[in-house]
Amino acid sequence: MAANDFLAETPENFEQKCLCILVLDVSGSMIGNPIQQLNEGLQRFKQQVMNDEIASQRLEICIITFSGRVACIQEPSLIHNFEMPTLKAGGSTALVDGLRRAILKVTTRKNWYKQTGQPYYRPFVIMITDGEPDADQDVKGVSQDIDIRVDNKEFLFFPIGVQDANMDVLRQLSHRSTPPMMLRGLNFNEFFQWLSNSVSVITKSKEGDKVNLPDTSGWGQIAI
Amino acid sequence: MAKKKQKLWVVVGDSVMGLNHVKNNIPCQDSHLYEEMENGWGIAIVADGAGSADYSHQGSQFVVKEGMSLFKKIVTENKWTTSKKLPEQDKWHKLAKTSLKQLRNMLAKEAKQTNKELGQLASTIMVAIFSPLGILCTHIGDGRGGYSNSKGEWKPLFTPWKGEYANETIFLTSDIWADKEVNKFVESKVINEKPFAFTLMSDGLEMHSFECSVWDEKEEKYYDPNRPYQKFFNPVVNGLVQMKQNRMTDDEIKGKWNKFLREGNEKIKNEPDDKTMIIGAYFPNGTS
Repeated sequence: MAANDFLAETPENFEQKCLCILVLDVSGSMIGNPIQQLNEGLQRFKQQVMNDEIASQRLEICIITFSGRVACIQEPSLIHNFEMPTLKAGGSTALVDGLRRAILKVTTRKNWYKQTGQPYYRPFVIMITDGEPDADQDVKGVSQDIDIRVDNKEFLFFPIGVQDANMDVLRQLSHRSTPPMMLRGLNFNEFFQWLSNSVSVITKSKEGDKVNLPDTSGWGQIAI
Repeated sequence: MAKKKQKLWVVVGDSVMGLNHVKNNIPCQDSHLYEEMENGWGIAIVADGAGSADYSHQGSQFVVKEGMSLFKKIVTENKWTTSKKLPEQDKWHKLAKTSLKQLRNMLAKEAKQTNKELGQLASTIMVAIFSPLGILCTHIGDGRGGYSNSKGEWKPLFTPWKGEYANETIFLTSDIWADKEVNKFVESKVINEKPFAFTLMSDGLEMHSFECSVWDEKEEKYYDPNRPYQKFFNPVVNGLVQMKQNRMTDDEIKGKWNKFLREGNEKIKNEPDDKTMIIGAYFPNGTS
């Protein structure tokens, strides 16, 4: 640096954390191309986050899958600390159980942040599904719960439909601030690019009543 | 011939776009202004527009411009520049609160005249009235402020207001004024210690210049000591003083400062949020 320039050392501060929970449908209807595209999208997402120095230090990813059963296959973790799993599809669609697990995960992780004094952002819950929830799934109950929690700013909820998803169900589940989106074709790569950009926006702008997220036209359309 | 007003401070400040604003073509939502008045008294203001508000860049510009007029009026009307002591805490807090509320009402009027919602102009505000006797500060929202004494010890000016989330704060436009607990949101302080230097900044630079998230061994958790980082500020102030002593012009110094805020080091360069910082250093014998 030239003489007469300003010089300074910067302190070591612990980075704020942004929890992003992916609630992914791995039921039988996802077998074949859909699950393959989703897996490729996840790999792309990992690469995009790794290339963003700030997001890679702030974003904690948690992956919950649902088919006939629900599994948290990736506990909240920074992108550098885990290998993106390869998902396999099969079974029925316990969609509501998957969402319940995600809501519980939001609460426990936020408690952990509070207990350890870690600053954090409003978590994201992203649900991707292509099907119809099983008959025993209490869609009405969980949708009421989501409404209250999103109103209370506990998290942001984005329901994404793929191919033959029942958009009436997604509309019922969604909060008015973030209507359900329909993925155009199997455009997971563009979707995950958008998600990566959105996380950047959330972690870099001030909280307000409105969330200004990047344009979604590259991958989806609002379900009408 | 009229005697030229002698300056006792060298002050530099700038607002530059963060990386995220550059990438997404969002205007710089930070604004700042500073002005030295007389006898070593002056005013510095920083405002940070809400990322979620469509016209917050206009809001922050309005806030610093009109805020400067309001606080200059207070200094002049109270004849502080010729006073031997700073006002009492209570008096300053009442004056600051009244002025900030007036500023909020002016912003509401501006919103109405330009067919906008008040919330679309949401902005924070930080004010430091600096003098050879000490500093008067007030603020609403986040951002950081600090000052150093003659021993080169840096101390915080105020505590940023943070909500549950790291990026959550309140604004001049927030619904805080009717609240009986408005004093929770408007913080004002009288610093009765002779300052050697001071700073005000938007939160885009806090992680690079303040210790604000560090590990507490005893409590075994992270906490925010709100501590200006001496290894950041002392070299910066020394650089500023040397530039002035080397007879660089204000424009040349500002050019150097702009470069520093844009790309001073890798962390600053990669900062996604807008970056504003004002630094002032006291020259008791005058700057020229």
